Amino acid sequence: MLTEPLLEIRQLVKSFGAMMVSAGIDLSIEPGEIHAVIGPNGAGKTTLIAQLAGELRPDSGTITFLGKDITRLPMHVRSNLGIARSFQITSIFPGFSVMENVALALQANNGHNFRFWRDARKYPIIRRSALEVLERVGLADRAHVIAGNLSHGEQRQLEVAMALGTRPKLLLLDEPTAGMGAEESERMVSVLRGLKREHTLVLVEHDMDAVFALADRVTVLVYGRVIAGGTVDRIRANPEVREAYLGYEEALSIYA
Amino acid sequence: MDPILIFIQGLNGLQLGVMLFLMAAGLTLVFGVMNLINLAHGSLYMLGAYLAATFQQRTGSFLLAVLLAIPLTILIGMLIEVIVLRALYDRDHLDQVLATFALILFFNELVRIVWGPQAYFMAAPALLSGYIRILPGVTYPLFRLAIIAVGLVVALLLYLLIAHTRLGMLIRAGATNREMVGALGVNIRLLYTLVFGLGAALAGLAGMMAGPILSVEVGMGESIIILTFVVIVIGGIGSIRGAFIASIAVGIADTFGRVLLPPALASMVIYVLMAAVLYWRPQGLFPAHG
Amino acid sequence: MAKKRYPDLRQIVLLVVLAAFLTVPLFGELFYTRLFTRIMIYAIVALSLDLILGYGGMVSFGHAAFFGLGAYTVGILAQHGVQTAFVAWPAAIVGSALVAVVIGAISLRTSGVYFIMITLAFAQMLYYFFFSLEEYGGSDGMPLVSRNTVAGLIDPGDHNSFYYLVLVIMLLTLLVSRRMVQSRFGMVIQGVRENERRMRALGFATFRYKLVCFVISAAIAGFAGALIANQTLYISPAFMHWTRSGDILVMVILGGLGSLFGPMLGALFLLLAEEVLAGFTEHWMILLGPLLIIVVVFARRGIYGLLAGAKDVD
Repeated sequence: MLTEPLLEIRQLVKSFGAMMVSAGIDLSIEPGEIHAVIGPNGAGKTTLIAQLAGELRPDSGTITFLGKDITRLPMHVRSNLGIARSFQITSIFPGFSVMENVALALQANNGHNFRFWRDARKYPIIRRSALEVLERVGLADRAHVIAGNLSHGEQRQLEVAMALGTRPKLLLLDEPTAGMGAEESERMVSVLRGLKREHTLVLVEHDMDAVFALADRVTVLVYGRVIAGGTVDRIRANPEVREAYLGYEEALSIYA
Repeated sequence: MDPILIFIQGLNGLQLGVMLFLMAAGLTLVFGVMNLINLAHGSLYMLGAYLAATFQQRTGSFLLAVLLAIPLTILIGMLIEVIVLRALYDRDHLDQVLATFALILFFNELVRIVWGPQAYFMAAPALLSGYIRILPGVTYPLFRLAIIAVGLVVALLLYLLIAHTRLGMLIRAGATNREMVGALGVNIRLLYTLVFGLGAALAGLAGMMAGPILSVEVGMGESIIILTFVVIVIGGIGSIRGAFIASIAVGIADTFGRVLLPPALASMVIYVLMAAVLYWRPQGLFPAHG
Repeated sequence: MAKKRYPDLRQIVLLVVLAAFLTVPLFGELFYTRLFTRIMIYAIVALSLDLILGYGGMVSFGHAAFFGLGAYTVGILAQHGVQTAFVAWPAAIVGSALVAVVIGAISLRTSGVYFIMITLAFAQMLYYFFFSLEEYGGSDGMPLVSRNTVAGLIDPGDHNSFYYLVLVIMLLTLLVSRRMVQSRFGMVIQGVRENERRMRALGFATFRYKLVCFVISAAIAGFAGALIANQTLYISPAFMHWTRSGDILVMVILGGLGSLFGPMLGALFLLLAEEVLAGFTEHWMILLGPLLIIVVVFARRGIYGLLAGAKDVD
């Protein structure tokens, strides 16, 4: 069944000086899928996410979301349209509690915020929704801890929670399991799997366990170019992909 | 406007410009290499002027006064760096602004205690106190010409230092990538102290040369430090070249502004210029960090 | 687990300070009444700076411009025959707010040190502008013949009445500001301070919020300026000089950034110290510099922070 892609990227080009970081990327993301973007270091994965989120302006090419051209739209407008992003390097509000972190995310898309009198904590909808989001990522019992005091793994969970808090249609997750141990990564993987029903995920990942456990489709990026795309099995069998990941031969062969 | 007048005012603008450059070079280096905003840079200017004025009174010689006052200013600068500024390198800019603002308060009061609240008089050196004919029928104060000359020579020497010596290379490296320089095993502390000392010398020299033209008084640092910040913001923080071009531009803009516009508007010229530059090129004209 | 309630030192100090403010005029010492009126007015302007600085993370070095603008609005209106507070004071508030819209719209496109510099530049522009405005006093400034009238309710010549009026205004400003920083708007502003990039990623048009906060802060400063003109009966461009902005910054930091009450304590401390120390030596200022450096380096959270001890500031 042909459905309109949720996100369509055509010929995305981005250079920093003499270095071309995105060299004509074509990609489409289907609604409801978990799409992993993998590639060796320097492939330009985070730059791609930054362009999709609106933090970086591509030199040329188009990005279409739900049929609408968003290439020139600023970050906050894209977020309001339903695109959420989590960062590779944790970017939370360390001075606020976990609950307040998520509450801010909820505030963003829950009515306007030029309200000057009523205490922010007294909006029941926001409180309840924040707790729901925290439960989904498994942080509900840490709701009142100051975010700066969380462990690294918990902060990564909060990263995802904040992205969820904006009630997005599309989640751009940049290495959500970065720096996590095996057990924490497994928990994150099950959290992400649980999101599939209501959200579409684009996942940049280095953790191959996570990729194979989650992804419906995989795109392989090398030096800013898409060298392969397709289901997990097809990617695993692709000789070019193996070659690109020198030494990944070993890793991939374990799962073959 | 009469071309001779334009020429004279052009020279005045150039003179203000090189003085601003002496201040701006030190300030932009300190900001570029050490990422430190130093509001008290103007205090070093003031101290240089006061010290030179005092030595001139004691010795009767302008040149001797300058030769004595500069090392002393460098010493004070280095003391400031070691005692106060070292605690601020890792702090955010707000903390640096506050602490160096506190230094201004301190030095203003110190000068008031040591020298008294009245303005000091500083005479131009006898050799340079006359006028010189630069064009048929046009004379210009010799001292101001000397300032321009000294300023340009210092600019040249700075350029040679930065572009052609090892210290200069370290400074340039430090301005573009602080962490790397430290990682290369360079004694960062010493480098910082030296850079600050250099800045102090330049500021003090500017003060000493300004003394005979403006008056040596408490608070003289405040007026020049604002201009200096305007210059480095326009020129691009961390860039000596930017500082040079911007200081000449600001010097000329300010001078002609005062000639052509009513006083209320004249003072605003350089601020409008800075606001415009920040609006279109927020990093300044020649940012060092890129 | 039962929680042991320790008496919050901050609350005690605040109650004492409030009690002091309430009772000063009762002592009948004109000098102290006038001094504390000044303190309260500076508490208001310091509080307004705390809104953008402590809560918004915007380091403005030009805040005194709005303070001075408020004062000049009152003075200029008075020169043209407008004596009633009901026109002059709202005019001061709105005037400062409007100028803040322009200054903010341009300055807030920058950040960090550039923001500091550009706010400083704008303040200096205004300073030089009024310095050269001969019709309204120029460099000498202009006197205010009498205080604004409050529709005959308060005798403008009575220092005590004016004192209590300023006290009420200060308390109202504290109340309104406190509600504002805890509101949804306040949370957004604090979020922008904590991590602006994330705020934009979450969907907030951060520029708009910063600008509104900037304008509100300027409006309050303008109000304080109108009050100071009424207090000193003299309006001078010196009110807007950048070093005056520095003084207000000092009050906020000394008192405690991001606490609203802290800046009030900072204003109290600084102005009282000025009076007390000036009695000992005319060179008391030489202590202020090193003291401030020590506070910045070692006691960054200011007086209010020290009182809070190990607990986080509100």
